[in-house]
Parts: sequence; structure tokens; C-alpha cells
Amino acid sequence: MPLPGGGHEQSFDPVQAMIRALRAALSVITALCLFALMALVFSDVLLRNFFNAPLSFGTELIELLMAVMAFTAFPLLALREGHISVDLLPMRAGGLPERIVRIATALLLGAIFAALAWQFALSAQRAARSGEVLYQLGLHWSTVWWGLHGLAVLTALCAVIAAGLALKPRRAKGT
Amino acid sequence: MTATFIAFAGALLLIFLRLPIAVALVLVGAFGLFSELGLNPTRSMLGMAAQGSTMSYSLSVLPLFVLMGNLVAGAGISGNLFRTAQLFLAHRRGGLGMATILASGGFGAICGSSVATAATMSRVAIPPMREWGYSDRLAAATVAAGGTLGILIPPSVVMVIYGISTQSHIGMLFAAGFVPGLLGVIGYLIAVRYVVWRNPAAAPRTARSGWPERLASLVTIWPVLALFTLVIGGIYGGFFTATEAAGIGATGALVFAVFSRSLSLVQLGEIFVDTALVTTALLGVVFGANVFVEFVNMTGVHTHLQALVQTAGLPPLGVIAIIVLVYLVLGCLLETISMILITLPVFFPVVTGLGYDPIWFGVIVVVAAEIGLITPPIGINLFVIRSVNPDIPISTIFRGVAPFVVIDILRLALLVLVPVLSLWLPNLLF
Repeated sequence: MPLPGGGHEQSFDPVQAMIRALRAALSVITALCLFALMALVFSDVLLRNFFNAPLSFGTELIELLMAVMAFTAFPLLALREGHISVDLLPMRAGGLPERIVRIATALLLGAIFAALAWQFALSAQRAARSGEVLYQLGLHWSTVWWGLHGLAVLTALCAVIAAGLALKPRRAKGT
Repeated sequence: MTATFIAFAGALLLIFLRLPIAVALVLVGAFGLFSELGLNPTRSMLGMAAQGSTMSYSLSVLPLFVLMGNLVAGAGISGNLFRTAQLFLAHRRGGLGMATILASGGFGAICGSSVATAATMSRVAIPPMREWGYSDRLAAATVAAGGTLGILIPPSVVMVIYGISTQSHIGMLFAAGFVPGLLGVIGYLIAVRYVVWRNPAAAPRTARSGWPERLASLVTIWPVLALFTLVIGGIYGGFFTATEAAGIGATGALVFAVFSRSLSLVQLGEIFVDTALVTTALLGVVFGANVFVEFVNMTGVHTHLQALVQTAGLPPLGVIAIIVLVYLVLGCLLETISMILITLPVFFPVVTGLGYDPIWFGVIVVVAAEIGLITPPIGINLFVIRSVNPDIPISTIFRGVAPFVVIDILRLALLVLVPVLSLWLPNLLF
């Protein structure tokens, strides 16, 4: 995969190495969540139709897997600048207007996920006070919210990194 | 009403300035909510919108259908479909173009995404068409138009989004798309024949194949028939829901991809990662639309619009015509799913208030969105083809799709005037 900045480094760059490792780790997690989602739905149908034994926790686990898949993919999308956009306005790749839009996009994305992280932290604190648990899985809601909080913070950070990388001119936009 | 118009104009402006659709919609929606309610409720609504668009059982159908399509495309089934259609039709003038339409229709039956269908078929069908001397204009336009069949012929990602947004029965929506999808195939075949009739040099005849070869090729497309029967048959047979069908279909596609040995483990992994990213980008749009719609709903625009419709004295069909026109114009400027998500809360209550069937309206919205996929300046399928074939000028593709857009508009008019075309099958099955 090309680096978000599109560069080909000559010497060891710890920041780029860290980004590569982060991307690899997140890619594995998001792909595994999707695989688990598929396997879970398949197993549930099979167990229900052939053994009359549906998975009691199926719905909640599917919802959790969806959230983890999405919130581990959000940082990747932030780094790749991969959110869906419409290129109606012609801009030269690497030109100043294009870079301004990329930086503004990344910072706004970062702000949105920072706001989400804030909200998730509040939800986690509220859930911890009330002791709410997921009905079927028995997992504490505060754990879920803190997990999502962490991933939202990570997405906001990745958006800031993407803004930093957009400061440097690049050859082509890799979405 | 004014606030809603400002919100729509603001969102369109930000999208035009190349901000991601999700970001533009969240910004405008959050700004509107903040100005009306203040910080805490806005932040709380952001959280709820994010939760609703990710931690959702009903939306899990999206990654699973996208995965099924991606696995099938990666395993090379689209190539088999095209080769089979080619063997049956290539000796006719425009036969390769017609084969492309049929193969796209077949691929649409196992892939719910228009972009995926267009991208896959442009790799499979454009090189042989160019090799046989087809004009770039016809070759590219055929693939672009054929690609749109992916979102109407079930299963369809866009219909899933419509069904979830309007709480309509997804199985009925899938069934409703079947006849209009077939009409689309027939219409596009007519468009190819028309282009060839106007300019015979655009599509030379190719060699005729023998029946033994043709029949042998049918064996190679059994996975398409098997997956389609499994997924759609399972839904209508009452064996599983749309989400379960998507899971079964994705697993079936994975089993086929593994046993066909056409994909390495690394390639399979890449397909899973790509699917997660594509789906999450879609979920991002759903999140943005949720925030935007929260504000639009708060303005009460649909109540104003319903009152306006009543006082204006327009006939119901006139209202539908205006709504369709809005979709056609927006389809030229906006990405399909975001367009549907942000307009439905405004139009859906008006349409159902007039007594129209929500399932029928779903088909109308999807067909209008299909037209947007091949209408300049946005027409995402046109740009997909351009990105796969950079040597074909975009202006050539723009000119080529004109007959297909005309046929599509005629089909849309027919579906508006004859609702039974869409409703016959769902009423029969459910």
C-alpha cells in the first residue's frame, strides 16, 4: 500500500514506521471483525435451522462487531483520506487549493471525532455509574463506550497526522 | 422551510468544495442543531447518530453484501459471465455490447453495488470490445449503463439503505426491483441496437460460436445461479432475513473463491480489508446523513411541504413528477446513497401521505438514482470507467451514454405510470 504522503523514504523514519504498523494492525482487526461477522451470521442461521439452537447473544455480538469494524476502519480512512467525496471542482493534485482542502478536511474530521470521543467518555462515565450491562453478553456498557472512546481519539489523531502529511506536496491523491 | 433550504445549500456548497460528504453533512447538521439546542444536546445527538450508524444489526447487511460482491468479482466470475454471453451473442452486430449488458445484469444479481459492477465489467468487457473494433464511445457507455443494473436487480445495497431509512420490508423491495431491472436490461439492449443501427461501424460483427462451446460455457456460470438462488430464494422461501441471506451469500462466495483457487490468502485478506473500508465509508455517509436529517426533521419541513402540496392543488402525479425531477437533478450532483438519505425524510412522508406505496416509491427512487450514476457531471460510473481506462476521454464517455440515459428516463416514466410493474412480484410473493 502507498504511504498516505505518497513518499518513498530513503532512510528509517520512525513516524512513517509507526503509521505503517498502525495501519497494518488496524487492517487486521477490521478484516477479522468482518470475517467474524460473516461467520457469526452463517453459524446462527445454521444452528437455528438445523439444530433449533440459535445463538442467544448473536444480535448483540453482531452490533458490537459492526461498531468495532467501523471504528477501527475510521482511523484508516482518515490516514488514507478515503471518505467519499465528489470531485466536481477541478483542482491540480498537489496544488495549494487542493492541499488547503485536504488539510481543512482532515482537521474537521479530527474535530468531529474529538467531539464523538468526548461524548463516548461521558456515556462511559454514566454507564459506569448506573452499572448498565449488555443484556445478552453481560458486558459492561462502560467498557464498550471506553473502547469506542479510544478508537475515536485514535481517529482524531490520525486525522491530525493526515493534515500534517497534507502540508507536504504529493504527486497524486491516493484515496 | 428557509432553514432547511439554507442547510441543503450549505451542504451542497461544502460538498462542491470537495469536503467529504460525511463531513459536510455532519458540519451543517451539527451547526443547525447547535444553533437551535446548544452544545450538550448537539454533542449527545452526534453520539447517538454515530451509535445508530455503526452499532446496528440492520446495517450489518451492508458489509456482507459488499463482501459477497467483492469476493465474487475477485474470483473472476464476472469474466465467465461475459464469456458465456459473448459466445451466445457476439456474432450479432453489437453482440459484444449486448453481452456486456447481460453479463452486468447477471453480475448485478449477486453484487449489490453499481460501482463494483461497473469497475468489474470495465476490466472484463472493454478490452475485448476494443480488440474487436468497437468504438470507445459504445464500449464505455455500455459498461457504464450495464453497471447501474447492480443497484436495482436484487440484492441491492441502495435498496437496503432505502428499506432501513423508511422501515420498509427489504425482501419486498428486492422483489420489486426484479421486473424494473429486467426492463432495464431490455432497454439497454435496445439502446445498443439503436447505436449500432445509427452507426454500424461502431460495432463490427465477430465470429459465431458453435453450440457445444456455448453449452459448455454455461457450466462456468453455475456459481452465479447457485448464489442468486441461495440468497434470493432463501429470502423468499422464508428461510432467512436479508441480513442472514447476506451472511450466507458472503460465506458461499468465500467458499467458492477458496475452492476455485483463483485468490491467494493475501488477496482474500485484501478483499476483507477493502470491504471493511468501503462499508465504513458508507457508514460515515449514513452517520453524516443521520445528523443532517436530525436537524432537517427538527425544522418540520415535511409538515410544511405536505401543507404546501395540499394548498397548491397539484395532482398526486404532478407531485411525483416534481420529486422525480429533483432526484434527477440531484443525481447529477450528489453521490447516490447520501442523496437518498438526506432527501427521504423530506419526500417520503409527502409521498406516503398522497397514498402511494412505499415499495413502489423505493423503486422509483432507485431508478432515478441509477440515472444519476450515468449522468454528467458527477455520474460516478462514468468516472469509474475512466479510472480503469484512462486513455478513453471523459467527453467520449459522456457522449456515449446519451441513448442509455434517454432509455432510462422512458423506463422511469413507465414505472411511474404503471406501478403494477414494480408491485406485481412483491404482492405475489408476500
